Amino acid sequence: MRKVVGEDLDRALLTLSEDARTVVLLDLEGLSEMEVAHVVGCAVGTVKSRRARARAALRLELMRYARTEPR
Amino acid sequence: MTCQDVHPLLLDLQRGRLAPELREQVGAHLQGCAACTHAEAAERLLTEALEQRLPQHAAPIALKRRLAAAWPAERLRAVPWWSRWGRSVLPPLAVAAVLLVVIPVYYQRGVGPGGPRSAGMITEAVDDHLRILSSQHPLDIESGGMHQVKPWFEGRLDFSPVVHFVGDQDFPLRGGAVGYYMSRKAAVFVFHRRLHAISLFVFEPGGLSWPTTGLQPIGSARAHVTTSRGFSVILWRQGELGYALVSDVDPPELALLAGKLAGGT
Repeated sequence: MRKVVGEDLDRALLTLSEDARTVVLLDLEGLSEMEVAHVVGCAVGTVKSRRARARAALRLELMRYARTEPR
Repeated sequence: MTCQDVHPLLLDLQRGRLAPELREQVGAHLQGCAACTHAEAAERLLTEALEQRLPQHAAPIALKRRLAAAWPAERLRAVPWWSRWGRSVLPPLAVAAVLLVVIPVYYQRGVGPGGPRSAGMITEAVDDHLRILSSQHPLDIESGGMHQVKPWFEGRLDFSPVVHFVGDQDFPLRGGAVGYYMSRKAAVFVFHRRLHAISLFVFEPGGLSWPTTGLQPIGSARAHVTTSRGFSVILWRQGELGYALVSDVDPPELALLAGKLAGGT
């Protein structure tokens, strides 16, 4: 994970669905789960599960980049 | 408390959003569970990567103007003055502000995180330097000296990169290329110091949040000197241009080159 660069993060985020990317980025902006739910128009529980799945997918994608692209 | 209970709470733990009692329970579980400790570290690393290394893209001026023009008018139309005091409008407005400013930028370029933009300038300088190091063909023009490299940029950039130093035995110029820095075209000059590569990005400085405190005199300019991920980074503005100098050489050596480039030593 420490080897990934901004370009990898760009690419990994673009592999997510639009909904998943929105939740991850709004969370990163510091919005609370309730605020994200309000913005996206879904339940807080949906935000939690969507965020967890999206971050897990990001981790997998970035680990793949780190393994396959020696720097 | 089981691992299944703890995993969904790790992010909230890191954000300080757990109630004290729950925080203690999660903390106690982490002390005795290697798997959850590993998961917690993975969450932290991902957050760090996103916060510090995700490229940041400034919203276009036209978009900012549209938002500035549209937002207050819409708000005033939608909410009569007398009803504003009857309920709390600040949270929805705060969310709307984030939506209006942040979301269009994300979707214009696909991504875009928070964090101070000067930190973004440093992160991008290091990322761009790494890209040059890892590229098979980092240079568009191999150096025959600055008198060959600088004219090569004519017609390829909207500005003429002003560089006061042409290279010498200590810092030979290896060549140049057209690159991008903070969503704008940049002239890239690559110098060397022994076996270390040094990247200089010259670009138009408008619209960026330049550091304004803690600046050090470098040559005839005042520069922001810092390190990031083991690289030394020096940012400065001079005339109508901005400069970012990045390398893994020792900071004093990079400052020496920056002084030469800024025309003071």
